Amino acid sequence: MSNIQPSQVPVRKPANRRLDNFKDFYKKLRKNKAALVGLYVLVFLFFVSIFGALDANYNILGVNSNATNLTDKLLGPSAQYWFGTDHLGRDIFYRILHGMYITLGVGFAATFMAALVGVPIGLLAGYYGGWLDTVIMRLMDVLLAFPGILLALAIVSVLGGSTINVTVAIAIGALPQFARIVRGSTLTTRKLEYIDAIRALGAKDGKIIFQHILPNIMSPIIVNTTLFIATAILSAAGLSFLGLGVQPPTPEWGAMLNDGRNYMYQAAHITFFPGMMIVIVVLAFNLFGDGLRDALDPKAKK
Amino acid sequence: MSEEMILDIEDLRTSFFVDSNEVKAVDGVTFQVPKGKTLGIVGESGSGKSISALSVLRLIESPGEIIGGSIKYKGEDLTKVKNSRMRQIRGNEISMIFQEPMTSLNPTFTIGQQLRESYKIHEGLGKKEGTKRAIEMLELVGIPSPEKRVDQYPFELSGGMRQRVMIAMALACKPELLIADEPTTALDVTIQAQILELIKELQEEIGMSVVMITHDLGVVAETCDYVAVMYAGKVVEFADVYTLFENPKHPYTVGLLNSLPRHDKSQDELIPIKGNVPAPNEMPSGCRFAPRCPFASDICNTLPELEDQGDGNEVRCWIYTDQWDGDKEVQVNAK
Repeated sequence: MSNIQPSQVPVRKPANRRLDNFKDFYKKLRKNKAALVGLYVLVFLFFVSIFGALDANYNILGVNSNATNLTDKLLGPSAQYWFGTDHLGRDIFYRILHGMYITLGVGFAATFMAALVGVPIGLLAGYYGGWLDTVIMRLMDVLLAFPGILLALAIVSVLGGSTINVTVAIAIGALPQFARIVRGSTLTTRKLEYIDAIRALGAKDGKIIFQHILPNIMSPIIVNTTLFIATAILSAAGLSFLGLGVQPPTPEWGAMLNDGRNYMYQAAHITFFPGMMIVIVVLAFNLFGDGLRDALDPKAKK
Repeated sequence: MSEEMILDIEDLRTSFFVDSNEVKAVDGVTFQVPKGKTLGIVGESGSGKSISALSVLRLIESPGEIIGGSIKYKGEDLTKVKNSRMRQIRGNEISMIFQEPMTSLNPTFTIGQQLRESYKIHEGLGKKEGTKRAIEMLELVGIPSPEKRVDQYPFELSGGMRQRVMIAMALACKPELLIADEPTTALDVTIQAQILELIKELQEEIGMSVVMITHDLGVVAETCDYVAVMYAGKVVEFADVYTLFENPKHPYTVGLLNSLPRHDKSQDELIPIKGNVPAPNEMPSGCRFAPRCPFASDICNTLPELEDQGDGNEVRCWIYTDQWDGDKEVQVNAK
């Protein structure tokens, strides 16, 4: 090309594009104050939960959160017991602290399990279409026909109540949600010309699906994942409250709610504090998830 | 034409099956591409140009299907080869440039990552070597400061730049046949001229053959050696480019030429072709063009064959046969 002179316009040096992208993203997220609060709360709670996760013997910050002390039972909040004590005289503050990792853990684990299975399922259904799509999506419809908590309830009553079973049950209930969102996004993305273009270069289906379609539909997946963690935490707490989830004396928040149910009139704080914590965590995830959705939406680019 | 044919398409039929109806998008198309030459395929929207091109690379997706005919690429019938062989051919031996440069690049990858893809697929090159080749390729297609551009994302480039990147991607493995599906439709005229010039230069450099799909007769005149005029899924006229423009035979080709403004004659108004391409489900059983043809007569209710006229021109029209029962003195020539 002799007639086209290379221009000498300096092109900004792409020093660290991923960092740049992250800064852009953070800048947009920062505009949404509620989402930022949600993020900070989550980061804080995440670090706190590490204390509980570190010691399996119910020792947390030098206090045994499972130690019963019947002389101090049903005490209200005080300087000694910040959140009061329950019917066995256990310190509710430390129990909540200890239970944090279980609650967050079940939420994260269930969601990632669902995403790990649901995303590939949705990709395959959306990409190949035809009978594969029909079979997969009708199966998902069957799962979707049951209310999530009822399905989880049924699965847990078959498998038996334990932390892992609760996680699996919630994950199965969440499968259709992930599969559907991913399938929908895949359907629109695979029709785009750059997918044709890459196929015209001789790429295999697997490469097209996982390397070219998947990165393009990451935003809805990330947003859905964040929002679903909140739902998973609620479901887990619900199952434990019904006595089908994590078994006592593990200080799971839902189980603690159930413990306090009988003492509601004498000592409301036993149910109030775990309940409050569930509200805070779920709210934080929802606020952050909403902010994330806005920040990742390319149409809202400023 | 006695040259060696790189692509020989024979009676290709591609149909779409929608709600148990068959829509014949490509209905018995026959054409050849001589080695090192450029074939133009012209026709209006819906005439089956793009579908023919996609059929060559077997990129037709359900509900579409190639239902008949043969596509011989250097003697190998592409309608019959295995998928794995087809993938080797795509991008390596036959490449394609798409219509929309704006949407033909993946927004989540840098230019370099996408260019490397070809090398990775066909030559197994790693990141470093691939990037080096990508930069060379970008330089070849005339992109300034290519070593910086490789790290940019598609949204940072203009339309013309993106089309250059597309061309670089398509030519990365030095294919023997390039299919350009309206490569300049989305670009303005100056960029269009540059891109066409670029394709021509690269064609000479690599010695590849080109199938240029377009609805712009100006582009055809400028770049092509041979032209196939398509109408409603069929080739109606096939000729070398000089014959076509100097002595067009098919009434449709004449109509197309008449509807173009010319700068060598003063014209008060252009003569359009009346009517529209018939909808696929109400296609006439005879000559597809008959309802819009000013010369149509009774015999046009049966389908004419594509017949060699002896002067390097093949036409699908009854006027040029012995059976023509209408006015023998029909003056079909362009005004």
